[in-house]
Amino acid sequence: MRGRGGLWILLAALPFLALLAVSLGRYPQAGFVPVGHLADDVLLRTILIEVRLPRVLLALLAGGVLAGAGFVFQMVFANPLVEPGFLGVSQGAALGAAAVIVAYGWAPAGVQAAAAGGAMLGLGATCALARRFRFGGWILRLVLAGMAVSAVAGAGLAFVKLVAEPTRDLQDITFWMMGGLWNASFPALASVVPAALGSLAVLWAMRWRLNVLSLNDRTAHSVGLSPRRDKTVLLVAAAVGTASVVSVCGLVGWVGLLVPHLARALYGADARRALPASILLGAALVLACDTVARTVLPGEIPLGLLTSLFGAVGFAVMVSRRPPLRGGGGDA
Amino acid sequence: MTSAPALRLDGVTYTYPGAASPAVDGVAFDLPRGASMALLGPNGAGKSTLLDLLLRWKTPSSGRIELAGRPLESHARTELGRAVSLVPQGEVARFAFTLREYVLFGRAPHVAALAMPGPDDEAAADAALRDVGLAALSDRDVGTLSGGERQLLLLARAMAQQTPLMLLDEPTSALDPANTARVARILRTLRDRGTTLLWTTHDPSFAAAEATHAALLRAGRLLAAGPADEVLSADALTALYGTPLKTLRHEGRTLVYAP
Repeated sequence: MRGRGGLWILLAALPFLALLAVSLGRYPQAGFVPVGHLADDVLLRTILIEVRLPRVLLALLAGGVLAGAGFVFQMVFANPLVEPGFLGVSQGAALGAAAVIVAYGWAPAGVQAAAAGGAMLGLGATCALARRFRFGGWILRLVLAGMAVSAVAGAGLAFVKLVAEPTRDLQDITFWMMGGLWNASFPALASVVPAALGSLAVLWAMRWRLNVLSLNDRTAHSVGLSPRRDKTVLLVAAAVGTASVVSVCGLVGWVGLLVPHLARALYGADARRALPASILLGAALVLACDTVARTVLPGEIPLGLLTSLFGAVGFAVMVSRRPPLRGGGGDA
Repeated sequence: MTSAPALRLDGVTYTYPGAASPAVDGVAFDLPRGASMALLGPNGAGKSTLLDLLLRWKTPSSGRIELAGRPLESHARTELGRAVSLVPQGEVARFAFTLREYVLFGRAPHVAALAMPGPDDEAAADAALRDVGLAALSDRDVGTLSGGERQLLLLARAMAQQTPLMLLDEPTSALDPANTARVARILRTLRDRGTTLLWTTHDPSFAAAEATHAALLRAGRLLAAGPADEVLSADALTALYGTPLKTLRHEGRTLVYAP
């Protein structure tokens, strides 16, 4: 799997998985679409094209961005235990988005901008706090700081819920906190695409450099890089991508933690292969979870619930496994 | 231009923020092109700080550093990466890169900002791995290396950088005699290829054997700098370390020992 071939297989499998997901659902009955009905069932065609297709595309995009951002956070912080949800990024984005929804109602551009601002604020606060902590090594400090910042953002979110208009905004926010793609539509997709694809493009273009930046800053400097500038560019790109996904999909946890580890285990540590692998595997995982979320029960299971279950169990297995996880060190 | 030394330091001073006295204090010497200079001094003498200043990782509080006849600060970031390489002292490998991937990182200043390393870069990395004798381990995970192999790996990465000047922070500390001899051999090869070397060490005998030039640093001040056989005298080393030291000539080599 370490060769280039493995990546192409992954890339080629995605459209097939997407097609499979589009054809799965609960109309006209639970299970696969009866192909014979496509010709004369107008409602079925509308559901496939206007409901399931944008949802499947959004799942792929969200999974790719969350896993790509998680990969970048892990390498930039030289810390295998971080993901957007652990660094105050997701909760910051959620708080920013929720505050704007309550104050001004749902407006995609405003919500996304607020989510991006909240994400950046969350990340900045986590980094600043981790540097000040006088307890534990860098890995632990960053995780603890992320917990503290996430808790503060969570408290802020709870407060926003308290003052939210109960019949409309509150339900939106509550369900959205659990993470899910029921909002998916082509307009919603279109509102995420620019920031999400822009973010992925930056991560993709800088993927080799990302390797060098995972060494300590003095070494990166000695091979001609500007580590602080390059890391800032990567972190902002990852945070903006995460925020755009969170603003539409809510909190979809653990994808950014588990998938990068899986990608490195399969394709090696070099981000030239492991970053694209992480993006593709993240897309596939979120698509699979979302397909389960909307098909197995008559009502919808929140996506975040499934990814957390899957991600946390997978992560527990991976951390218990030999050889042990590596990563860490002092000076980021 | 060609006659300019590889490095020229003039009154170089650096004080850490909040520190009462400078860590590097008015240091001035020339490092001739093609020289292999040992930088000696007790712990805390300012050797590592001086290397950081030469890398432009830190900026002198006052004084002037010239690299190949031009002020150090006038070199662009990547240009500096193509001019000066560093073999750091110990480095944690945080992800399970292979040796080839790790050595390839030395090519960063030769690779455009958003580009990937090309065949030339791969070739330079492979050549560097061969030069240090690690070619057979190219596909191994760097985390599986012994201390000696890791030091050779860091050397290989700096060699892949193909710079005219290489700085080495205690390249032989924590190495057994066989690996020390291996590093000494690689340093000689580099010098034969025209690379100027500046390395710190705590081993005066190793310096006497391998260095063409030496500089002695104590409490941030330069005690002496120049050709190794002039600088590395028993009196100078005794003053440097603050403990009596003697030298002994044996089979054409100078050995330094505490009587």
